[in-house]
Amino acid sequence: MIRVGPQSLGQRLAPQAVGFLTILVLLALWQESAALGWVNKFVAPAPLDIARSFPRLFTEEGLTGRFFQTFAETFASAGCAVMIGIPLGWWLHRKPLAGLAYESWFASFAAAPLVIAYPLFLVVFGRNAATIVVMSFLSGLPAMVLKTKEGLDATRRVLVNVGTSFGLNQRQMFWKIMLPAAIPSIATGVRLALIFALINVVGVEFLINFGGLGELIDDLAQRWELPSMFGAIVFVILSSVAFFWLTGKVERWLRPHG
Amino acid sequence: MADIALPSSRPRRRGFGLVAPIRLATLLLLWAIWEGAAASGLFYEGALPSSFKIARGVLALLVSPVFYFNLGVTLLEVLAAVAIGVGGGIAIGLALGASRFAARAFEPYLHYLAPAPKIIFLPVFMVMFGVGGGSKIAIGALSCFFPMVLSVASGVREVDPVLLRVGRSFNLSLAQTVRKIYLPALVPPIATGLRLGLGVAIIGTLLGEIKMSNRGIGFLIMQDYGQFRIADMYAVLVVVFALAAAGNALIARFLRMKGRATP
Amino acid sequence: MRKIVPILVAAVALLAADYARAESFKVAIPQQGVWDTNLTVWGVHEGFFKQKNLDIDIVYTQGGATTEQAVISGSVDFAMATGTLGIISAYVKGAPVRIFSAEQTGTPDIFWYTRSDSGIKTLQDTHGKTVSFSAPGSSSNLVILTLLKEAGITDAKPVATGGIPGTFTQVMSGQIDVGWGAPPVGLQELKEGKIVIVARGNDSPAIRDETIRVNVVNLAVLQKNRDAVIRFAQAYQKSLDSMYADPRAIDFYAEQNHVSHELAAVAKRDFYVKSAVEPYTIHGLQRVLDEAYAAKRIDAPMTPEQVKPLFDIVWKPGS
Repeated sequence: MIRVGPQSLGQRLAPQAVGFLTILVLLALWQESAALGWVNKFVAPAPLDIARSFPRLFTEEGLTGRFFQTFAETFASAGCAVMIGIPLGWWLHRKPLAGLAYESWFASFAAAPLVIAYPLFLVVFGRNAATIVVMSFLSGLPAMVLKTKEGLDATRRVLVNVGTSFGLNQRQMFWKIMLPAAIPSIATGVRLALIFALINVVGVEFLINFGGLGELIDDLAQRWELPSMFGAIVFVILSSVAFFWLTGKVERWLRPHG
Repeated sequence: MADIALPSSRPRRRGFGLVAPIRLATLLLLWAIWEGAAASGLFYEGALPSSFKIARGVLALLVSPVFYFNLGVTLLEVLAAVAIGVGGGIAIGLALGASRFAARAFEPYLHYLAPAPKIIFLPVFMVMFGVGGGSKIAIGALSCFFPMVLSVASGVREVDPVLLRVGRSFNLSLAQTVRKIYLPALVPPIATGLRLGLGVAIIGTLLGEIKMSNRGIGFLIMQDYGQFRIADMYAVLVVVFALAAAGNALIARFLRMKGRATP
Repeated sequence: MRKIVPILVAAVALLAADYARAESFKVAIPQQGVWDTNLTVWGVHEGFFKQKNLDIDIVYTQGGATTEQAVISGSVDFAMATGTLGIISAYVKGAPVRIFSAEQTGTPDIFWYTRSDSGIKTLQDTHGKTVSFSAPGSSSNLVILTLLKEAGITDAKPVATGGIPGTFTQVMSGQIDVGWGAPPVGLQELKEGKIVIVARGNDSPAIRDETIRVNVVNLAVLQKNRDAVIRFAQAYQKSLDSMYADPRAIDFYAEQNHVSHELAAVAKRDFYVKSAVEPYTIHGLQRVLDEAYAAKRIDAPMTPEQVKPLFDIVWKPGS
């Protein structure tokens, strides 16, 4: 017999509860293993020690300031990617030959392991925020360009025809028809630019030991503050989760309903 | 993390003949800008060497047994990372895709962890797996795992239920169902996951070599950087980027062929 | 293709060797090609370690905690030329390591330089100028702060610039005024008069008498095979003597760093005095502990007596 009808609250929440409990059980096993000495504390400190390190991260390691520094670099990088990527994407759409010639280049660039070229950027820009922002901007740019072009290319022909029938000039066509139609795809591009920027900012900060959260992780590793290092890693993961949830909400808000 | 798709339609015939000249002209312009910047004195000569120096470095690299040895080491580490990441991703992706309960219980955590920068786990893996290939394979495998597991889980849920009913009517065992129905149907999502995963596995492995190693392409990069042989470092990066682009193009071509072949 | 296949096979074999149970010792060395860290490399090259029945596999790191992590986790057996400050910090937190010899006392190799057209001749000219070090808490950081303090300069601007190559570019392109460096980078420009040295690490009497870097062994290795550690120390001494006596060592250093024999000889003569790498005595330990506390590497001030168990100089000539 197939059950129909709405599920109870318990039935709806059961999977989430099981998932959460599984995480708790794994943490408990880790804690017990650390207490019994089965796990080397220089490899993985006990979860409780990690949790206890959190207040210290805020009071002694300047976690809040570093958080803002990382996210400032992220928004600067993504902002540059948006400001340059949207016009570039529009140009690739507007000039079909340019689109044919360069779209695959941008796609290949998106897949390029740019981060391994960080010594190069260090030599050119120095060990400072410029290296971080430039590298992160370059990582987010292809997504912005390609999603902008994709959105403009996908504008329904019938909408363009309607605009033509109303005698709209090119500029009016762009602002009243093309851009609104491309907003969902552009919103995805903005979200991707932000995601790639954050990943690169934290990664490059870690590699060059400069900046915010990434530098903190490397610094704590250098000082053998392992519970705090793990705590900082957890904080970065939680920040990423919150950030991506937020950008997802913004993207959904920008998309038309229905 | 969304995929950035290459253009899926064939290029139009009209104007197609101009694409190659445009690309060539662009490359020439970029080359001219580079040479101009290198000769301008705006940058210290060591930081921006002439393209001819870099080209000589590339040629020297391509005939160097040392380069091929290190390339072999990196390729093996990447292959091992991809094998582990892909294998784990497919296995867990199948389990999550086949069970709504398991998917709702555990998949959100994978979605949240997927975009987190994996580089931050490097110190942990160095201590856990040592200074040899193990730590590089571990970070590469972790990087590769997430795109694969999410792609496969999503792909399993999209397998045509008619095919599954046919399998049940033939009394296929679980193993037979996986082998004869799921895996063939999952080729496109596996290929997509592989394409995404390969890129991040290469990055993770190289970064591990850059931080600590005595062999591999990442080690070559740091060796050149540490001894201020910047032109040679550019040469290694050029070759790595070219290989990455070639790998990506091969997989994209395979995807397009599969897309045409799949009904 | 015929050449590539055997090379790939060799790569597989070496990768597999990571997992094979070999009778060898893994040694982590930071900064490939530096004269003092080359002591072990030269010893392997000349067969001194083989003579002591030691098979040495060298792994290069980026220095700092990566070298320490490797020996603490047991993934290498020895870590050479690692910062005294860092190892003390790890030991105080329970890391299973022992210092079995000194590696360098003082910093005769580190220097600060500027472009010859900058107008800066000595540290006294660095008022309001940017002066670099590698990273916060590094030995270059501690040394430059000491030098500036001793010179009475309170308004210079210390800036972290990372490694030597990046620093060099920043100096030559005018992004910073005074950069830190170590041979052989910069020696050619020094010879050509493009840069001038404004300070050297050993200008400070306090730094000159402080053991900055040490050689470390994993505690389990030491407890299980003390004899091997002693033989390692003996081979190290032989390598040290040979590097300063054998003129081929200069060619070896030159080849590793892609510099001329002449520049390599200058580096050895002017920057790497033998007395600085004498391995049997730890100097200035209280000062190191004070610096560790100031840099938040340890939670409370400590005395040499409190860290005595960390030091186990396993062998000296004549013992």
